[in-house]
Amino acid sequence: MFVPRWKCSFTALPKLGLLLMLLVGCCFVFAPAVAASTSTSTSFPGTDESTTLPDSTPLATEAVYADPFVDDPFSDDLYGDGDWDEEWFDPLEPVNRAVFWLNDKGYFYLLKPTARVFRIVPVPLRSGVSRMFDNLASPLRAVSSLLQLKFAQAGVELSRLLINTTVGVGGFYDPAQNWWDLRKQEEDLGQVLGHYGVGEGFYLVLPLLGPSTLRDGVALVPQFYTDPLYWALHRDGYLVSKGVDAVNAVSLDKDTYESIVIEQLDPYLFVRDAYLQRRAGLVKQ
Amino acid sequence: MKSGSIGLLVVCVFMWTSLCTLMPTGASAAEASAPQEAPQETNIVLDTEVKENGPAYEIKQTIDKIIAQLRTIDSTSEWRANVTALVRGKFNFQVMSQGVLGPNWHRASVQERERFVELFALLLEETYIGRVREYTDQQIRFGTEQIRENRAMVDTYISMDSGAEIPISYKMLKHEDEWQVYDVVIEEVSLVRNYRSSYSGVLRKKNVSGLLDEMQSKIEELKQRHAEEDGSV
Repeated sequence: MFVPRWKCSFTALPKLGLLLMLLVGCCFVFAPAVAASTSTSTSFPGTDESTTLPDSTPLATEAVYADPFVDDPFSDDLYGDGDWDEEWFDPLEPVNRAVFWLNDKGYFYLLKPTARVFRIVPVPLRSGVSRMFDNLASPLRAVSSLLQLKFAQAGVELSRLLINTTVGVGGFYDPAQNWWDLRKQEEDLGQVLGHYGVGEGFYLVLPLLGPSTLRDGVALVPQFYTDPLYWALHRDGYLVSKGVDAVNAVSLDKDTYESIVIEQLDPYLFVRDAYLQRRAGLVKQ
Repeated sequence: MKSGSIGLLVVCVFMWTSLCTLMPTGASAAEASAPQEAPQETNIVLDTEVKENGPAYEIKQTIDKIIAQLRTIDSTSEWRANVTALVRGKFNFQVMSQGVLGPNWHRASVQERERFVELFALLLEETYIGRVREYTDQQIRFGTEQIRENRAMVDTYISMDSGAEIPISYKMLKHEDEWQVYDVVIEEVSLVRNYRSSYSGVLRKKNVSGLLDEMQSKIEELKQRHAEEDGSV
Protein backbone atom coordinates (compact mmCIF):
# COMPACT_ATOMS: atom_id res chain seq x y z
CA MET A 1 0.00 0.00 0.00
CA PHE A 2 1.82 3.04 -1.20
CA VAL A 3 -1.25 5.20 -0.88
CA PRO A 4 0.13 7.32 1.99
CA ARG A 5 3.26 8.15 0.03
CA TRP A 6 1.27 9.56 -2.87
CA LYS A 7 -0.94 11.47 -0.51
CA CYS A 8 2.01 12.79 1.40
CA SER A 9 3.83 14.37 -1.51
CA PHE A 10 0.60 15.79 -2.81
CA THR A 11 -0.66 17.32 0.40
CA ALA A 12 2.64 19.12 0.85
CA LEU A 13 2.07 20.98 -2.41
CA PRO A 14 -0.89 23.18 -1.39
CA LYS A 15 0.71 23.91 1.98
CA LEU A 16 3.84 25.10 0.26
CA GLY A 17 1.70 27.17 -2.04
CA LEU A 18 -0.06 28.74 0.92
CA LEU A 19 3.26 29.63 2.53
CA LEU A 20 4.49 31.20 -0.69
CA MET A 21 1.28 33.16 -1.11
CA LEU A 22 1.48 34.49 2.42
CA LEU A 23 5.09 35.53 1.89
CA VAL A 24 4.23 37.31 -1.31
CA GLY A 25 1.26 38.85 0.46
CA CYS A 26 3.49 40.19 3.22
CA CYS A 27 5.82 41.70 0.65
CA PHE A 28 2.93 43.58 -0.86
CA VAL A 29 1.54 44.97 2.33
CA PHE A 30 3.86 47.90 1.82
CA ALA A 31 3.52 47.93 -1.93
CA PRO A 32 0.25 49.94 -2.25
CA ALA A 33 1.77 53.11 -0.91
CA VAL A 34 4.71 52.88 -3.30
CA ALA A 35 2.56 51.91 -6.24
CA ALA A 36 0.06 54.66 -5.58
CA SER A 37 2.70 57.34 -5.50
CA THR A 38 4.21 56.18 -8.78
CA SER A 39 0.95 55.63 -10.58
CA THR A 40 -0.41 59.08 -9.88
CA SER A 41 2.64 60.70 -11.36
CA THR A 42 2.57 58.57 -14.48
CA SER A 43 -1.14 58.58 -15.21
CA PHE A 44 -2.18 59.65 -18.66
CA PRO A 45 1.24 60.32 -20.16
CA GLY A 46 -0.33 60.33 -23.61
CA THR A 47 -2.89 63.02 -22.95
CA ASP A 48 -1.52 66.45 -22.35
CA GLU A 49 -2.69 67.60 -18.97
CA SER A 50 -2.35 71.22 -20.05
CA THR A 51 -5.61 71.09 -21.98
CA THR A 52 -8.34 72.69 -19.97
CA LEU A 53 -10.80 70.24 -18.54
CA PRO A 54 -14.36 71.53 -18.64
CA ASP A 55 -15.23 69.14 -15.86
CA SER A 56 -16.82 71.81 -13.72
CA THR A 57 -19.72 72.19 -16.12
CA PRO A 58 -22.81 70.79 -14.41
CA LEU A 59 -24.35 67.85 -16.16
CA ALA A 60 -28.01 67.33 -16.78
CA THR A 61 -27.95 64.15 -14.74
CA GLU A 62 -26.36 65.71 -11.69
CA ALA A 63 -29.20 64.40 -9.56
CA VAL A 64 -27.98 60.86 -10.14
CA TYR A 65 -24.91 61.53 -8.02
CA ALA A 66 -27.02 62.39 -5.03
CA ASP A 67 -28.60 58.96 -4.96
CA PRO A 68 -28.99 58.03 -1.30
CA PHE A 69 -29.26 54.30 -1.98
CA VAL A 70 -25.79 52.87 -2.06
CA ASP A 71 -26.92 49.32 -2.76
CA ASP A 72 -29.29 50.52 -5.41
CA PRO A 73 -28.69 48.92 -8.82
CA PHE A 74 -28.99 52.33 -10.44
CA SER A 75 -26.53 54.07 -8.18
CA ASP A 76 -23.72 53.94 -10.73
CA ASP A 77 -23.46 57.20 -12.56
CA LEU A 78 -24.04 57.41 -16.25
CA TYR A 79 -21.76 60.10 -17.39
CA GLY A 80 -19.44 61.17 -14.75
CA ASP A 81 -16.22 60.79 -12.97
CA GLY A 82 -17.96 58.70 -10.38
CA ASP A 83 -16.58 56.28 -7.90
CA TRP A 84 -16.47 53.31 -10.23
CA ASP A 85 -13.61 54.66 -12.23
CA GLU A 86 -10.99 53.51 -9.75
CA GLU A 87 -8.28 51.41 -11.35
CA TRP A 88 -7.91 47.81 -10.30
CA PHE A 89 -4.79 47.22 -8.24
CA ASP A 90 -2.38 45.26 -10.38
CA PRO A 91 1.22 45.82 -9.26
CA LEU A 92 2.35 42.56 -10.86
CA GLU A 93 1.04 43.52 -14.28
CA PRO A 94 4.21 42.62 -16.22
CA VAL A 95 4.39 39.19 -14.55
CA ASN A 96 0.65 38.71 -14.94
CA ARG A 97 0.82 39.58 -18.60
CA ALA A 98 3.59 37.02 -19.07
CA VAL A 99 1.53 34.29 -17.38
CA PHE A 100 -1.52 35.43 -19.38
CA TRP A 101 0.51 34.97 -22.54
CA LEU A 102 1.61 31.54 -21.38
CA ASN A 103 -1.94 30.48 -20.57
CA ASP A 104 -3.03 31.85 -23.92
CA LYS A 105 -0.55 29.58 -25.68
CA GLY A 106 -1.64 26.66 -23.55
CA TYR A 107 -5.24 27.33 -24.45
CA PHE A 108 -4.71 27.56 -28.19
CA TYR A 109 -2.16 24.77 -28.61
CA LEU A 110 -3.31 22.26 -26.02
CA LEU A 111 -6.72 22.83 -24.49
CA LYS A 112 -8.58 23.96 -27.59
CA PRO A 113 -7.45 21.20 -29.97
CA THR A 114 -8.27 18.59 -27.33
CA ALA A 115 -11.67 20.17 -26.74
CA ARG A 116 -12.32 20.16 -30.47
CA VAL A 117 -11.75 16.42 -30.60
CA PHE A 118 -13.96 16.07 -27.53
CA ARG A 119 -16.82 17.65 -29.44
CA ILE A 120 -17.40 14.29 -31.15
CA VAL A 121 -19.16 13.27 -27.95
CA PRO A 122 -22.83 14.33 -28.14
CA VAL A 123 -23.78 17.47 -26.23
CA PRO A 124 -26.22 15.83 -23.75
CA LEU A 125 -23.46 13.48 -22.63
CA ARG A 126 -20.92 16.26 -22.23
CA SER A 127 -23.29 18.53 -20.37
CA GLY A 128 -24.11 15.61 -18.12
CA VAL A 129 -20.45 15.18 -17.33
CA SER A 130 -20.17 18.91 -16.72
CA ARG A 131 -23.06 18.67 -14.24
CA MET A 132 -21.36 15.74 -12.51
CA PHE A 133 -18.24 17.81 -11.90
CA ASP A 134 -20.43 20.65 -10.79
CA ASN A 135 -22.22 18.37 -8.37
CA LEU A 136 -18.86 17.53 -6.79
CA ALA A 137 -18.39 21.22 -6.06
CA SER A 138 -21.60 21.27 -4.06
CA PRO A 139 -19.82 20.56 -0.74
CA LEU A 140 -17.63 23.59 -1.35
CA ARG A 141 -20.65 25.79 -2.03
CA ALA A 142 -22.46 24.41 1.01
CA VAL A 143 -19.46 24.94 3.30
CA SER A 144 -18.91 28.43 1.92
CA SER A 145 -22.56 29.35 2.46
CA LEU A 146 -22.39 27.97 5.97
CA LEU A 147 -19.26 29.95 6.79
CA GLN A 148 -21.11 33.08 5.73
CA LEU A 149 -24.03 32.04 7.95
CA LYS A 150 -26.27 31.81 4.90
CA PHE A 151 -28.14 28.81 6.26
CA ALA A 152 -30.90 28.68 3.68
CA GLN A 153 -28.33 28.68 0.88
CA ALA A 154 -26.30 25.98 2.58
CA GLY A 155 -29.46 23.93 2.91
CA VAL A 156 -30.22 24.35 -0.77
CA GLU A 157 -26.74 23.21 -1.74
CA LEU A 158 -26.88 20.20 0.57
CA SER A 159 -30.28 19.27 -0.83
CA ARG A 160 -28.91 19.63 -4.32
CA LEU A 161 -26.00 17.38 -3.44
CA LEU A 162 -28.20 14.71 -1.92
CA ILE A 163 -30.90 14.81 -4.61
CA ASN A 164 -28.60 15.03 -7.59
CA THR A 165 -26.20 12.39 -6.34
CA THR A 166 -29.01 9.90 -5.83
CA VAL A 167 -31.98 10.70 -8.07
CA GLY A 168 -29.76 12.56 -10.52
CA VAL A 169 -27.43 9.58 -11.02
CA GLY A 170 -24.26 11.00 -9.52
CA GLY A 171 -25.09 14.48 -10.74
CA PHE A 172 -25.51 13.55 -14.38
CA TYR A 173 -28.98 15.08 -14.27
CA ASP A 174 -30.17 18.04 -12.25
CA PRO A 175 -33.56 17.04 -10.81
CA ALA A 176 -33.00 19.41 -7.89
CA GLN A 177 -33.34 22.36 -10.24
CA ASN A 178 -35.78 20.85 -12.70
CA TRP A 179 -38.25 19.43 -10.20
CA TRP A 180 -37.75 21.39 -7.01
CA ASP A 181 -36.38 24.62 -8.42
CA LEU A 182 -33.34 24.41 -6.15
CA ARG A 183 -30.79 26.47 -8.00
CA LYS A 184 -27.04 26.43 -7.67
CA GLN A 185 -25.71 28.96 -5.16
CA GLU A 186 -22.51 30.47 -6.46
CA GLU A 187 -20.27 30.49 -3.40
CA ASP A 188 -16.65 29.66 -2.67
CA LEU A 189 -14.06 30.33 0.00
CA GLY A 190 -12.76 33.45 -1.75
CA GLN A 191 -16.23 34.91 -1.38
CA VAL A 192 -16.27 33.89 2.28
CA LEU A 193 -13.13 35.93 2.85
CA GLY A 194 -14.62 38.78 0.86
CA HIS A 195 -17.83 38.56 2.86
CA TYR A 196 -15.87 39.18 6.05
CA GLY A 197 -14.17 42.21 4.60
CA VAL A 198 -10.94 40.75 3.25
CA GLY A 199 -9.93 42.81 0.23
CA GLU A 200 -8.85 41.32 -3.08
CA GLY A 201 -5.23 42.15 -2.41
CA PHE A 202 -4.13 42.43 -5.98
CA TYR A 203 -4.88 40.85 -9.30
CA LEU A 204 -3.07 37.65 -10.08
CA VAL A 205 -2.94 35.45 -13.16
CA LEU A 206 -2.17 31.89 -12.10
CA PRO A 207 -0.53 29.43 -14.46
CA LEU A 208 -3.16 27.05 -15.89
CA LEU A 209 -5.84 28.28 -13.48
CA GLY A 210 -6.20 31.74 -15.00
CA PRO A 211 -7.38 35.00 -13.45
CA SER A 212 -7.40 35.25 -9.69
CA THR A 213 -6.48 37.60 -6.88
CA LEU A 214 -4.31 37.21 -3.83
CA ARG A 215 -7.41 36.54 -1.75
CA ASP A 216 -8.97 34.04 -4.14
CA GLY A 217 -5.61 32.39 -4.75
CA VAL A 218 -5.10 31.81 -1.04
CA ALA A 219 -8.67 30.52 -0.78
CA LEU A 220 -7.92 27.97 -3.50
CA VAL A 221 -5.64 26.05 -1.16
CA PRO A 222 -8.18 24.96 1.47
CA GLN A 223 -10.66 24.57 -1.38
CA PHE A 224 -8.76 21.47 -2.47
CA TYR A 225 -9.88 19.75 0.70
CA THR A 226 -13.57 20.31 -0.01
CA ASP A 227 -13.27 18.49 -3.34
CA PRO A 228 -14.41 14.87 -2.98
CA LEU A 229 -12.22 13.93 -5.93
CA TYR A 230 -9.17 15.07 -4.01
CA TRP A 231 -9.92 12.50 -1.34
CA ALA A 232 -11.07 9.79 -3.71
CA LEU A 233 -8.26 9.87 -6.25
CA HIS A 234 -4.48 9.75 -6.18
CA ARG A 235 -2.45 12.57 -7.57
CA ASP A 236 -2.38 11.46 -11.20
CA GLY A 237 -6.01 10.51 -11.20
CA TYR A 238 -6.94 13.83 -9.67
CA LEU A 239 -4.97 15.81 -12.22
CA VAL A 240 -6.51 13.79 -15.06
CA SER A 241 -10.00 14.41 -13.69
CA LYS A 242 -9.32 18.14 -13.52
CA GLY A 243 -8.04 18.03 -17.07
CA VAL A 244 -11.15 16.23 -18.29
CA ASP A 245 -13.28 18.79 -16.48
CA ALA A 246 -11.45 21.68 -18.17
CA VAL A 247 -11.51 20.13 -21.65
CA ASN A 248 -15.18 19.25 -21.29
CA ALA A 249 -16.03 22.77 -20.15
CA VAL A 250 -14.15 24.33 -23.08
CA SER A 251 -15.84 21.93 -25.51
CA LEU A 252 -19.27 23.10 -24.28
CA ASP A 253 -18.33 26.76 -24.30
CA LYS A 254 -19.07 28.80 -27.40
CA ASP A 255 -15.51 30.03 -27.88
CA THR A 256 -15.81 32.88 -25.40
CA TYR A 257 -12.10 33.23 -24.85
CA GLU A 258 -11.24 33.21 -28.56
CA SER A 259 -13.79 35.92 -29.21
CA ILE A 260 -12.29 38.10 -26.51
CA VAL A 261 -8.81 37.67 -27.95
CA ILE A 262 -10.01 38.44 -31.47
CA GLU A 263 -12.36 41.29 -30.64
CA GLN A 264 -10.78 43.27 -27.81
CA LEU A 265 -8.13 45.93 -28.13
CA ASP A 266 -6.40 44.61 -25.03
CA PRO A 267 -7.63 41.14 -24.01
CA TYR A 268 -5.62 41.20 -20.80
CA LEU A 269 -7.35 44.33 -19.50
CA PHE A 270 -10.73 43.07 -20.63
CA VAL A 271 -10.37 39.73 -18.86
CA ARG A 272 -8.95 41.39 -15.75
CA ASP A 273 -11.88 43.75 -15.41
CA ALA A 274 -14.45 41.06 -16.17
CA TYR A 275 -12.98 38.76 -13.52
CA LEU A 276 -12.70 41.43 -10.84
CA GLN A 277 -16.17 42.81 -11.56
CA ARG A 278 -17.67 39.36 -11.36
CA ARG A 279 -15.91 38.54 -8.11
CA ALA A 280 -16.93 41.84 -6.56
CA GLY A 281 -20.51 41.20 -7.64
CA LEU A 282 -20.52 37.69 -6.21
CA VAL A 283 -19.10 38.84 -2.89
CA LYS A 284 -21.81 41.47 -2.63
CA GLN A 285 -24.58 38.90 -3.15
CA MET B 1 -17.25 7.84 19.09
CA LYS B 2 -16.20 8.88 15.67
CA SER B 3 -18.82 6.93 13.81
CA GLY B 4 -21.37 8.19 16.29
CA SER B 5 -20.65 11.82 15.51
CA ILE B 6 -20.72 11.12 11.80
CA GLY B 7 -24.08 9.46 12.22
CA LEU B 8 -25.38 12.46 14.12
CA LEU B 9 -24.12 14.73 11.38
CA VAL B 10 -25.84 12.66 8.72
CA VAL B 11 -29.11 12.81 10.63
CA CYS B 12 -28.81 16.57 11.05
CA VAL B 13 -28.04 17.05 7.41
CA PHE B 14 -30.96 14.86 6.41
CA MET B 15 -33.40 16.75 8.59
CA TRP B 16 -32.17 20.07 7.41
CA THR B 17 -32.25 18.97 3.81
CA SER B 18 -35.75 17.61 3.98
CA LEU B 19 -36.84 20.81 5.66
CA CYS B 20 -35.28 22.96 2.97
CA THR B 21 -36.59 20.74 0.20
CA LEU B 22 -40.12 20.50 1.45
CA MET B 23 -40.52 24.18 2.18
CA PRO B 24 -40.25 25.51 -1.36
CA THR B 25 -41.85 22.46 -2.97
CA GLY B 26 -45.41 23.62 -2.61
CA ALA B 27 -44.79 27.05 -4.02
CA SER B 28 -42.30 26.21 -6.72
CA ALA B 29 -43.83 23.01 -8.04
CA ALA B 30 -46.48 25.01 -9.85
CA GLU B 31 -43.89 27.46 -11.16
CA ALA B 32 -41.54 24.70 -12.25
CA SER B 33 -44.20 23.01 -14.32
CA ALA B 34 -45.49 26.25 -15.81
CA PRO B 35 -42.54 27.07 -18.10
CA GLN B 36 -42.79 23.74 -19.84
CA GLU B 37 -46.34 24.49 -20.89
CA ALA B 38 -45.50 27.94 -22.17
CA PRO B 39 -45.54 28.37 -25.95
CA GLN B 40 -42.17 27.40 -27.34
CA GLU B 41 -42.25 29.42 -30.52
CA THR B 42 -40.28 32.37 -29.17
CA ASN B 43 -38.16 30.54 -26.59
CA ILE B 44 -39.15 33.20 -24.12
CA VAL B 45 -40.56 32.33 -20.74
CA LEU B 46 -42.07 35.04 -18.62
CA ASP B 47 -41.75 34.73 -14.88
CA THR B 48 -43.57 37.90 -14.12
CA GLU B 49 -46.40 39.71 -15.70
CA VAL B 50 -44.98 41.99 -18.35
CA LYS B 51 -46.83 45.26 -18.62
CA GLU B 52 -47.36 46.70 -22.03
CA ASN B 53 -44.93 49.44 -23.04
CA GLY B 54 -42.84 48.83 -19.93
CA PRO B 55 -39.09 48.23 -20.20
CA ALA B 56 -39.37 44.43 -20.05
CA TYR B 57 -42.05 44.47 -22.71
CA GLU B 58 -39.93 46.58 -25.01
CA ILE B 59 -36.79 44.51 -24.59
CA LYS B 60 -38.81 41.33 -25.13
CA GLN B 61 -40.20 42.69 -28.37
CA THR B 62 -36.73 43.54 -29.63
CA ILE B 63 -35.36 40.12 -28.65
CA ASP B 64 -38.30 38.45 -30.41
CA LYS B 65 -37.62 40.40 -33.57
CA ILE B 66 -33.88 39.71 -33.43
CA ILE B 67 -34.46 35.98 -32.98
CA ALA B 68 -36.89 36.02 -35.89
CA GLN B 69 -34.21 37.69 -37.99
CA LEU B 70 -31.55 35.22 -36.88
CA ARG B 71 -33.78 32.38 -38.01
CA THR B 72 -33.61 33.74 -41.55
CA ILE B 73 -29.82 33.61 -41.77
CA ASP B 74 -29.87 30.75 -44.23
CA SER B 75 -32.41 32.29 -46.57
CA THR B 76 -31.46 35.97 -46.65
CA SER B 77 -28.26 37.90 -46.72
CA GLU B 78 -29.69 41.02 -45.11
CA TRP B 79 -30.04 39.54 -41.64
CA ARG B 80 -26.96 41.38 -40.43
CA ALA B 81 -28.29 44.73 -41.57
CA ASN B 82 -31.72 44.00 -40.11
CA VAL B 83 -30.36 42.98 -36.73
CA THR B 84 -28.12 46.04 -36.72
CA ALA B 85 -31.15 48.25 -37.33
CA LEU B 86 -33.03 46.60 -34.47
CA VAL B 87 -30.12 47.00 -32.08
CA ARG B 88 -29.60 50.62 -33.09
CA GLY B 89 -33.24 51.30 -32.35
CA LYS B 90 -33.08 49.86 -28.85
CA PHE B 91 -29.57 50.72 -27.62
CA ASN B 92 -28.57 54.23 -26.76
CA PHE B 93 -24.99 54.31 -27.95
CA GLN B 94 -24.56 57.96 -27.02
CA VAL B 95 -25.12 57.23 -23.34
CA MET B 96 -23.07 54.03 -23.52
CA SER B 97 -20.14 55.84 -25.11
CA GLN B 98 -20.25 58.53 -22.47
CA GLY B 99 -20.14 55.85 -19.80
CA VAL B 100 -17.28 54.05 -21.49
CA LEU B 101 -15.11 57.14 -21.84
CA GLY B 102 -15.97 58.43 -18.38
CA PRO B 103 -13.69 61.30 -17.43
CA ASN B 104 -12.04 61.07 -20.84
CA TRP B 105 -15.32 62.17 -22.39
CA HIS B 106 -14.58 65.67 -21.13
CA ARG B 107 -11.07 65.57 -22.52
CA ALA B 108 -12.26 64.60 -26.00
CA SER B 109 -13.29 67.18 -28.54
CA VAL B 110 -16.81 67.27 -29.96
CA GLN B 111 -15.68 65.61 -33.20
CA GLU B 112 -13.83 62.94 -31.27
CA ARG B 113 -16.92 62.26 -29.19
CA GLU B 114 -19.09 61.89 -32.26
CA ARG B 115 -16.57 59.62 -33.89
CA PHE B 116 -16.28 57.55 -30.74
CA VAL B 117 -20.06 57.01 -30.51
CA GLU B 118 -20.13 55.87 -34.13
CA LEU B 119 -17.08 53.61 -33.83
CA PHE B 120 -18.19 52.13 -30.54
CA ALA B 121 -21.59 51.24 -32.01
CA LEU B 122 -19.91 49.65 -35.01
CA LEU B 123 -17.47 47.78 -32.82
CA LEU B 124 -20.18 46.37 -30.58
CA GLU B 125 -22.16 45.32 -33.64
CA GLU B 126 -19.19 43.55 -35.15
CA THR B 127 -18.40 41.97 -31.81
CA TYR B 128 -21.75 40.68 -30.65
CA ILE B 129 -24.09 40.32 -33.59
CA GLY B 130 -22.12 37.44 -35.01
CA ARG B 131 -22.12 35.82 -31.60
CA VAL B 132 -25.85 35.98 -30.82
CA ARG B 133 -26.62 33.71 -33.74
CA GLU B 134 -25.16 30.86 -31.69
CA TYR B 135 -27.77 31.47 -29.05
CA THR B 136 -30.80 31.38 -31.34
CA ASP B 137 -32.27 28.22 -29.85
CA GLN B 138 -31.50 28.97 -26.22
CA GLN B 139 -34.39 29.56 -23.90
CA ILE B 140 -34.75 32.98 -22.36
CA ARG B 141 -36.51 33.49 -19.05
CA PHE B 142 -37.61 36.93 -17.91
CA GLY B 143 -37.17 37.77 -14.27
CA THR B 144 -38.06 40.90 -12.40
CA GLU B 145 -38.39 44.37 -13.79
CA GLN B 146 -37.40 47.30 -11.60
CA ILE B 147 -38.39 50.81 -12.51
CA ARG B 148 -37.28 53.97 -10.81
CA GLU B 149 -38.27 57.25 -12.38
CA ASN B 150 -36.68 57.27 -15.82
CA ARG B 151 -34.44 54.27 -15.27
CA ALA B 152 -35.13 50.57 -15.26
CA MET B 153 -33.42 47.23 -14.94
CA VAL B 154 -34.80 44.09 -16.53
CA ASP B 155 -33.42 40.70 -15.46
CA THR B 156 -33.34 37.86 -17.96
CA TYR B 157 -31.81 34.40 -17.85
CA ILE B 158 -30.50 32.36 -20.75
CA SER B 159 -30.38 28.59 -20.43
CA MET B 160 -27.13 27.05 -21.59
CA ASP B 161 -26.47 23.58 -23.00
CA SER B 162 -25.05 22.48 -19.68
CA GLY B 163 -28.33 23.33 -17.97
CA ALA B 164 -26.90 26.35 -16.20
CA GLU B 165 -28.59 29.71 -16.56
CA ILE B 166 -26.68 32.85 -17.41
CA PRO B 167 -28.20 35.99 -15.91
CA ILE B 168 -28.32 38.96 -18.26
CA SER B 169 -29.72 42.26 -17.04
CA TYR B 170 -30.57 45.20 -19.23
CA LYS B 171 -30.22 48.65 -17.75
CA MET B 172 -32.56 51.01 -19.48
CA LEU B 173 -33.27 54.68 -19.70
CA LYS B 174 -36.51 56.36 -20.70
CA HIS B 175 -35.79 58.62 -23.60
CA GLU B 176 -38.70 60.50 -25.17
CA ASP B 177 -41.27 57.96 -23.98
CA GLU B 178 -39.19 55.04 -25.18
CA TRP B 179 -37.08 52.68 -23.11
CA GLN B 180 -33.54 52.35 -24.40
CA VAL B 181 -30.74 50.08 -23.21
CA TYR B 182 -27.65 51.83 -21.91
CA ASP B 183 -25.87 48.91 -20.29
CA VAL B 184 -25.96 45.13 -20.31
CA VAL B 185 -24.88 43.24 -17.20
CA ILE B 186 -23.91 39.64 -17.87
CA GLU B 187 -23.13 37.55 -14.80
CA GLU B 188 -22.39 40.60 -12.67
CA VAL B 189 -20.15 42.07 -15.36
CA SER B 190 -21.32 45.38 -16.75
CA LEU B 191 -20.46 45.81 -20.40
CA VAL B 192 -19.96 49.54 -20.10
CA ARG B 193 -17.72 49.20 -17.05
CA ASN B 194 -15.77 46.45 -18.75
CA TYR B 195 -15.06 48.61 -21.78
CA ARG B 196 -14.46 51.62 -19.60
CA SER B 197 -11.82 49.80 -17.61
CA SER B 198 -9.99 48.37 -20.59
CA TYR B 199 -10.20 51.57 -22.63
CA SER B 200 -8.91 53.69 -19.78
CA GLY B 201 -5.96 51.27 -19.71
CA VAL B 202 -5.42 51.89 -23.41
CA LEU B 203 -5.80 55.65 -22.87
CA ARG B 204 -2.95 55.57 -20.38
CA LYS B 205 -0.59 54.95 -23.24
CA LYS B 206 -2.42 56.76 -26.03
CA ASN B 207 -4.60 59.81 -26.52
CA VAL B 208 -8.20 59.69 -27.67
CA SER B 209 -7.42 59.88 -31.38
CA GLY B 210 -4.97 57.00 -30.97
CA LEU B 211 -7.76 54.96 -29.38
CA LEU B 212 -10.11 55.90 -32.21
CA ASP B 213 -7.58 54.73 -34.79
CA GLU B 214 -7.14 51.46 -32.96
CA MET B 215 -10.90 50.94 -32.85
CA GLN B 216 -11.17 51.73 -36.55
CA SER B 217 -8.58 49.14 -37.51
CA LYS B 218 -10.18 46.58 -35.19
CA ILE B 219 -13.55 47.14 -36.86
CA GLU B 220 -12.01 46.63 -40.29
CA GLU B 221 -10.32 43.46 -39.11
CA LEU B 222 -13.56 42.05 -37.71
CA LYS B 223 -15.56 43.06 -40.79
CA GLN B 224 -13.13 41.20 -43.00
CA ARG B 225 -13.30 38.16 -40.76
CA HIS B 226 -17.11 38.15 -40.82
CA ALA B 227 -17.19 38.62 -44.57
CA GLU B 228 -15.01 35.54 -44.89
CA GLU B 229 -17.23 33.60 -42.52
CA ASP B 230 -20.41 34.59 -44.34
CA GLY B 231 -18.80 33.75 -47.64
CA SER B 232 -17.66 30.33 -46.55
CA VAL B 233 -21.00 29.32 -45.05
